[in-house]
Amino acid sequence: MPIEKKGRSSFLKKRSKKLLLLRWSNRARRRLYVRVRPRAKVFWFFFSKKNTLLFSLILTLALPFAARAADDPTAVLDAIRASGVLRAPVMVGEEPGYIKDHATGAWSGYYVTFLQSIADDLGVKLQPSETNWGNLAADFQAHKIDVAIGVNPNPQRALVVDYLSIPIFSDAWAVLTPKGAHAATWAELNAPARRITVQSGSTMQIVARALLPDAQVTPVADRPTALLELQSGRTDAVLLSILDALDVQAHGVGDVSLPRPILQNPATLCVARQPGNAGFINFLTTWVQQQRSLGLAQSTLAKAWKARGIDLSILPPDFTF
Amino acid sequence: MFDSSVITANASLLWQGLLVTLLYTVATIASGLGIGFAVGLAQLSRLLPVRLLGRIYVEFFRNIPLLVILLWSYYALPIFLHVNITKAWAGYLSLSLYIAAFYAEILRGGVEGIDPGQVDAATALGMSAGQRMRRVILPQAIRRMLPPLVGQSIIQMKNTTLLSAITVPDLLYQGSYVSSFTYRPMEVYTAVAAIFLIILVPLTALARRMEGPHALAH
Repeated sequence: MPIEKKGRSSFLKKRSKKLLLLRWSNRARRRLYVRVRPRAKVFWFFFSKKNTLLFSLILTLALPFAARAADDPTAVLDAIRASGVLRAPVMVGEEPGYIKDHATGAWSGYYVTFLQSIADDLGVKLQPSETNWGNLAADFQAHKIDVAIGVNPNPQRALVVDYLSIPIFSDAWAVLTPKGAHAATWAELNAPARRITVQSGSTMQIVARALLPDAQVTPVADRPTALLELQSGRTDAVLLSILDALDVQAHGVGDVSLPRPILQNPATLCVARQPGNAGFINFLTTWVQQQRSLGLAQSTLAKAWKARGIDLSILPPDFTF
Repeated sequence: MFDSSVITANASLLWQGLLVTLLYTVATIASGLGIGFAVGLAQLSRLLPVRLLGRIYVEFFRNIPLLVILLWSYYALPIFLHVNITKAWAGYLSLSLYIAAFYAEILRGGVEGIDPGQVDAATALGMSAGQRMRRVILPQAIRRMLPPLVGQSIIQMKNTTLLSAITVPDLLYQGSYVSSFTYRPMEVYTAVAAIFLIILVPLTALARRMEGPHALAH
């Protein structure tokens, strides 16, 4: 009897295993059905002959509207005003144009004053977005900023961003030399023995390439590094805009020379190139024209260098910004 | 020539920078260890696809320079995936994912370095795969892994200086900020170097002691 019992129980086990397998395969089949079925439905909804026609009709009718939205010259301007903020790049190492407060981290400087004025005219809040010159193009591409100020127009970059046709002001290119040294002309600096430091990716680099082809030009990442070159005796001249150079000199580092002929350094604004930014560019151009014609830009600059103790007597009396 | 008043006058900024550097070091090491442990175990898996995934992760993050990962995650993610990531998160994620690749390799090397006889012995005792890993292999492997883990973590603290490229206010960022308005970069960068030395030399000494012949041996 015990043998028979054993036989029966093993038979039952086998049967229950078989049932289990059947149940599994059924469940799998059901799952497959559930999974495949709605997808097939969606597929046929879009691609059945009748609906394809319907969709093409809707698209054909909607396209001109979409295109019109992209062509709307005030699209960017409206988007900025709707967002309530104007995002603009600010950076350290660019005093007196951009000054970061040591205690609060708040931004000031004449470029920030200009940006604040633009934001006020737009009726939005200024939102400084900290970056550096090297990352500026990426900031535009990633839509992290709306407008940049204090940039030099550059045709190669104008292939991807839109510059304003007029600068807000123009200063001059100067050089910072070790204390006691002096550079009267650009030609004097253009000798194989002369070591010149420029900020990489900046207009200074272009100026150096054009005017000082024989000199040893070293591009460095930022202004502190350029000054490090000067302080460690590795360079004979650091190329800087006159306002920046005078600010550095006021801090007791190096001497400023204004080599002849005087080279203009126009500071302008640029925006990301995108459909619908014509109105924004037009607004900014009008703002610049007002700043220039009413002397507002000049007064902002004068206030800034007075506050920083910058002495502009190095500039010729007939020099205008 | 060396004007140390620049440092004392701006000590609070450097201190803030140091705190950010330490925060990023500790946070990214912690999450990096977590991810690295998972990826390391994936590399040791018996399943080929899991092993392959682990390998792809390690090769991906180990062979792209950290600066590129940082800039890419901050600037390219918004363009490609429409994810507007803040610089703080971009920095944290990049540093964590980067260090995890190295930790994963250390884990894999540590486990694979254990004598296969140990596995056989554990199997003979009737242990399951999980038990073998938990009770026999990992306790030995972790002892071997500690010195390279400490070494890699020291490198990680220095890696955080790359955060300054996306203007996360770490120690190097504050250093270049201070030198940008004091125009005394030499003094400031010397101070930054000194701060790193003061923190990292004791840690390096600790790592070296761990590597010694009697270090943490059975």
